[in-house]
Amino acid sequence: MQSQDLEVPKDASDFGSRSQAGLLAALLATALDGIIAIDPQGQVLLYNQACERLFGYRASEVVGQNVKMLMPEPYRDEHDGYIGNYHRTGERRVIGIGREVQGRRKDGSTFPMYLSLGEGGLTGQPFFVGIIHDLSALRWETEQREGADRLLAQIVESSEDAIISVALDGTITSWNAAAERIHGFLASEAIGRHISIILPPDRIAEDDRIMAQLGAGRSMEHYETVRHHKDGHEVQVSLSVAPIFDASGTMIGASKTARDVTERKRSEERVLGMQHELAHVGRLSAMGQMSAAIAHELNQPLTAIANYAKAAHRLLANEIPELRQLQSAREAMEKAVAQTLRAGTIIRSLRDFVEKRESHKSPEDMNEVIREAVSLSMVGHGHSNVKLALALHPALPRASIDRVQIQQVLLNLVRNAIEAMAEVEKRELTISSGIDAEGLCITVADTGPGFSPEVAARLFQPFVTTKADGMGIGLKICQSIIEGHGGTIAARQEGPGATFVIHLPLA
Amino acid sequence: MPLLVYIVDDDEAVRDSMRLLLEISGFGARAFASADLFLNSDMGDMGCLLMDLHMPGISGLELLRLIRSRGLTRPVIMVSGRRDPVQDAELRAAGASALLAKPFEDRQLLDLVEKALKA
Repeated sequence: MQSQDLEVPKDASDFGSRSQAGLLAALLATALDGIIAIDPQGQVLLYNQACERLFGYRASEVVGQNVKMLMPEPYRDEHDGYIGNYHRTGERRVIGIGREVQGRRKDGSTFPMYLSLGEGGLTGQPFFVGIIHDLSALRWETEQREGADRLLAQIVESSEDAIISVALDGTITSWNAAAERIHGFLASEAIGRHISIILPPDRIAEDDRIMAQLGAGRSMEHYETVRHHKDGHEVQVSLSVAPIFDASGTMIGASKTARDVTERKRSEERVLGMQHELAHVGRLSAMGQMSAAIAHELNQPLTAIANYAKAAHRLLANEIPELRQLQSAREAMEKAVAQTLRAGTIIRSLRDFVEKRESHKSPEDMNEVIREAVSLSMVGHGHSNVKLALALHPALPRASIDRVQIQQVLLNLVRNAIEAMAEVEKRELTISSGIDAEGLCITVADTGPGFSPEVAARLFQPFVTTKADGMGIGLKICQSIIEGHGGTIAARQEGPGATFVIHLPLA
Repeated sequence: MPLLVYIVDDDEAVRDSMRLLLEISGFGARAFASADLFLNSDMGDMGCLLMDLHMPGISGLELLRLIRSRGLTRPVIMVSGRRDPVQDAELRAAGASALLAKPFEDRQLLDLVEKALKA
């Protein structure tokens, strides 16, 4: 049988009439899939146009040859065996069904194809028809898609950010490596569970709100919030949430990208803390400068008052003063009064300076406040050889205080103590916190010279000081701050030095 | 022609009250609100100088050194708000004849002025 191209063999009488034969010839020529017929020995009887495109061989090169030329190794060599096997055993294997196999082109390259194989008979001789569907385009697409999926998966896995997807009901559907690291749950532990495993209880409503927003078409970016780690600690995250749609555009869930900003937050807090401390120190030194300026300013009216009063006194010293002297004395007294008002204004400005700042009370860990104040007050006193002991109550309740103001008080007391101990051998500073009948109690005790009973009695009056260059207003300010908190401050002479005891009401 | 007490103080109340006290106690006084006004005066009748240490612009110490460098030898009483041993020593070295801390007793001022005018 010598078929040329797509011409149907003339003796293919089984195919029916001539017109049918023409139709079949056209069908073979236009079919996009390759069609091959072989005899039981494997010799090619028919090889259509599509096959020429698929394999690169002309029909004239293939027809009459063994079909195995179109197969790559190892099928090429095994093919005879397959056919022989079929003839011996009648075991059909691939025949009557189809499967995916490799084809070999003229240039030696191979391609995936789907081969469906049927068995027929022609003039008593069996023959086999193969329909060849080229899978390379489909395979290429699949590979591309799989490659893209793999790439995306790798990007997601290698991301520093936790990338989590959830279904509409909050069930976790994917969980990357960073999510494992940030939240502590393995993907196997998280997937299938509800997103609330990483939500602090007070953030569940927030999550619901975000999902509702997504439903309304709004995604959310870089929203700073708090999430949980498996072990219960909080993780500060910057969260971005976007909806996930299915092919029909229906929202089926959300992807959540969370960046762990705990470290950044911490360093921000550290910077804030330092600014706070600087403001603090600045404020104290400003207070020192203010004191000196006020001392100078107050001296001026006081000097003038003394002078005017003395002048008036002298003018009135005569038993019967002259009218001119009386007038002059009256003027001097008026000027003295004006100067007392001037002094009052200066005092008021000091009070304003101390009290003007609104207090911002919030619940604070007093031990933390003490530690900060102490480390701050040691700045510049590192060389003073003071032995510092902190005796802090381990379970102190939070106190509602203005952190800056209370630290200002502590700073003042600690600095006073350090200065007081400058002249003594034994320099020990003990700061303790605790709770007693009067509330939260903080003591600052030194081993300095202490103070005499008369000084102790007037300690919290302004301008009382044992320091050569002190203004004696520090303790007065401390007292007004503590009293502003509803607390008390007292000085005690306990042991060798001075002890200051602060009581603050429990929140 | 009696010699006058020259007063240099930028604070009007202090300046005015010192002059009043001196005048009713029988001393002639002339007051200046700044170092410049004082330096531009003729100083021919100056018996002594009563000068504030803390003034804007030129400090009392600088002014003292300046007038001493110009050959003025009359006594200078420095008035300051705060006594400080180092500062006192500097003022003495620069030629201050007496130091007076504010506020002061009228007697202290009058005694120092009387002594200075006799020098």
